[in-house]
Amino acid sequence: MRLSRMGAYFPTRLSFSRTLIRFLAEQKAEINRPIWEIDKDGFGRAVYSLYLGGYSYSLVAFSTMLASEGRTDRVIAEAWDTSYVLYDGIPNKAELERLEINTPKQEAGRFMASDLILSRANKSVRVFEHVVDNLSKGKQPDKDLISSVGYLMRTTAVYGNGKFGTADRQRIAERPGFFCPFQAEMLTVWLIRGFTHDLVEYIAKCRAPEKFIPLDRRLIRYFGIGNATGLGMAPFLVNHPLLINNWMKARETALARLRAIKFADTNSVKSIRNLIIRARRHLDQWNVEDVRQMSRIKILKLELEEVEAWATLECLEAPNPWNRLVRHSSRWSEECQELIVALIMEPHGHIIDDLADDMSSNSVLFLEPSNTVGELSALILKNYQWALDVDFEHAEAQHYFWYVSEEKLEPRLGVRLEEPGANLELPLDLARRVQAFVSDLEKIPCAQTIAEFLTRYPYHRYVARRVQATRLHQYTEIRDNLIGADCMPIDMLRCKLSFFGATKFDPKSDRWTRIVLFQGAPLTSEILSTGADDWWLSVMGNDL
Amino acid sequence: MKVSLNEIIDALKKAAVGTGLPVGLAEDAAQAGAWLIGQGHDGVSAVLMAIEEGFNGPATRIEAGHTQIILEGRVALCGPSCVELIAGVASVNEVCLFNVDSPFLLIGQAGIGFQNFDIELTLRFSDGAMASISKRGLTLCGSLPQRGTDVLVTRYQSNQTTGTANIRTNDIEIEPETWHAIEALAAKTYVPSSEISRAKGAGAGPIDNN
Repeated sequence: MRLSRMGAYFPTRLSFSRTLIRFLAEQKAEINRPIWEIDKDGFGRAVYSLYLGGYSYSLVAFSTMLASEGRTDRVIAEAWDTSYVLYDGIPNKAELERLEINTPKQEAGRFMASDLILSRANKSVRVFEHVVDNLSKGKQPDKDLISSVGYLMRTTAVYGNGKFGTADRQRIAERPGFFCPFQAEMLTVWLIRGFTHDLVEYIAKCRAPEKFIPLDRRLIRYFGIGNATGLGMAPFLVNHPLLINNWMKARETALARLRAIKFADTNSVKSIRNLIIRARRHLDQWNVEDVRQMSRIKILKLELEEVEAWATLECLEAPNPWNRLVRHSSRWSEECQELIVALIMEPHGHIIDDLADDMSSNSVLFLEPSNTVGELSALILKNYQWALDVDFEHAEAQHYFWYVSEEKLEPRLGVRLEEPGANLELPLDLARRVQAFVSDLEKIPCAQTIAEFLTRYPYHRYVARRVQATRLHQYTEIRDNLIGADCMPIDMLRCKLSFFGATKFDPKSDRWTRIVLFQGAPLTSEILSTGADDWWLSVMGNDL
Repeated sequence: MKVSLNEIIDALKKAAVGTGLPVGLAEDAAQAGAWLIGQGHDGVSAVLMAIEEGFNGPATRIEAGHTQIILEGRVALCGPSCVELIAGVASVNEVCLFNVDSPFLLIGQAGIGFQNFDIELTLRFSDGAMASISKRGLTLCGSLPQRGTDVLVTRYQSNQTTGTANIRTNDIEIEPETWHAIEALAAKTYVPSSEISRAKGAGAGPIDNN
């Protein structure tokens, strides 16, 4: 599990947004809008409700005026265009009033166990106003502009699992549909997307009821929901080793199952060839300002032409097609290799979708006290050579330190020799900690237990547990030095976001990115239709 | 005020780190506090009592046959090891701690030990209190153990086959002063913002109107 490969991940059919949509379709979920108290300028409140697996849930949405100088994607913001709670049940009047007071305050509000998820979103001002303006004049919006952005609003945070008093995950973890990770969060974001669609049309209609036309149905599906994500996601991957292991294990198991297929069936072959064409069109619509990412996209486009040329009918009908394709992909970039992984998963839901059920983890690491010092040392040699190889005598090897800023408790990255705060460093310096652990292990007889060792060296408890975890769990560690000068946090963000199902990675620096979720996904009114699962790497139609 | 269990765990961990406890032990203290809350006890105060004085070096451990003796009963520092020595070192039957700073946190750590290692433990305190952890959960006998007491931790077999799980989660009532005390300790782990950290630390600009 290396950063550079994690930074090349694409969404797959095991991504959490895909899992959610499949579940909603399977459950034939119907979304109602019992409350729509929005004024002609688009401000007010709305409630969307659905019944799912024996429980009712409601998205409670608030839309408020926001001055342009207050519109920031950063977590340091204090006001937003819209704010949301996914409510457990259907809120009564008193609950709506409570939420109306607290939800727009976000981190400064207080929430309760009935509030499952808290979120907010800002308008993409240029797109939102453009769409309102055009629809109110009886015209469809400019498809090039829509294609370049892909959403009407972008969320800047989606909080759950007890944050600010919201429900602990345990409350919903065993409920139908919520066993897989982040399903409540995904449901919230998908419903927010529906709200943005309704809101933009409603404002346009209020502006000119006679001339108004609704958004073209082919176009509206292309509007996903944007998201701006910063460094907060990066420590998550390190702080949840068993969870991340399960995500990676599901991917790897899926890939292993597909590579073991002796002969591909006709439908899969046909589907793969069509998906390659779709992927090429998707790449044509993926344009970013970031030089590094744009250069990777350009290379990927060329490589995908080669993939298409390689993947002839004859080639894919020969034995072991997917294993051969994966092996053949080693000549291409990591972006291309990872696109191929996602590609070959796509038509094989019947073989791999069950793996989504194994992607959660409610466990925390605990020490195996009877392990000996010798056993731990051997485990480090086997699984942490990447950490032992880092030369911390060089300043570049510990160039950065991770910390939590006092200001809204935002994770940040500092330069050790230039900024204060390294004494409050977060424990993301795994490689350095492993080396310190080894140094002390060497002082103690091999036969001593780790329980005894830790009474003398309690500082190493954190890393000792992690080392032990690698005995049974292969993917708990990012095998790179996360404080080195060459660390690219953006790679961690892309990895996590790909598991959410994000597309159109649009890095704005090496520390934050914009992405799109649910682009091409069924609308709230379409979840009952067929083909609800066919929206991987969606493409805006050329016929629009 | 009402808080979620995960808020408590997160805040207790940060607070413990803020007082100088190594992060692995801070995680354990927070989990032990949560276990106590699940049993209906004040896990937050138990952790606070154990960490508020800060920490120096590791505890002094003495081996006396099958008994391990720990002279300074700084529970946040040595509590997890007490349980682990009993669970994982064949030659250790019992652990004795003197001058225990937070007896309830030690009970919570024994509870976590039960969860992790499936071993039932008895804690006999010198002030007359006794606590047993089994599948039935926590059983307390006698008066509540007080700070400064000594304790003997031993394995026992209750033959209980059923019991209750840790079930309390959201909407946990906590005194605002206690919560503020935790937050103040947690704040010791935060780095004050500066212009440079705002500008470079997150790698993002301040306004996004596009």
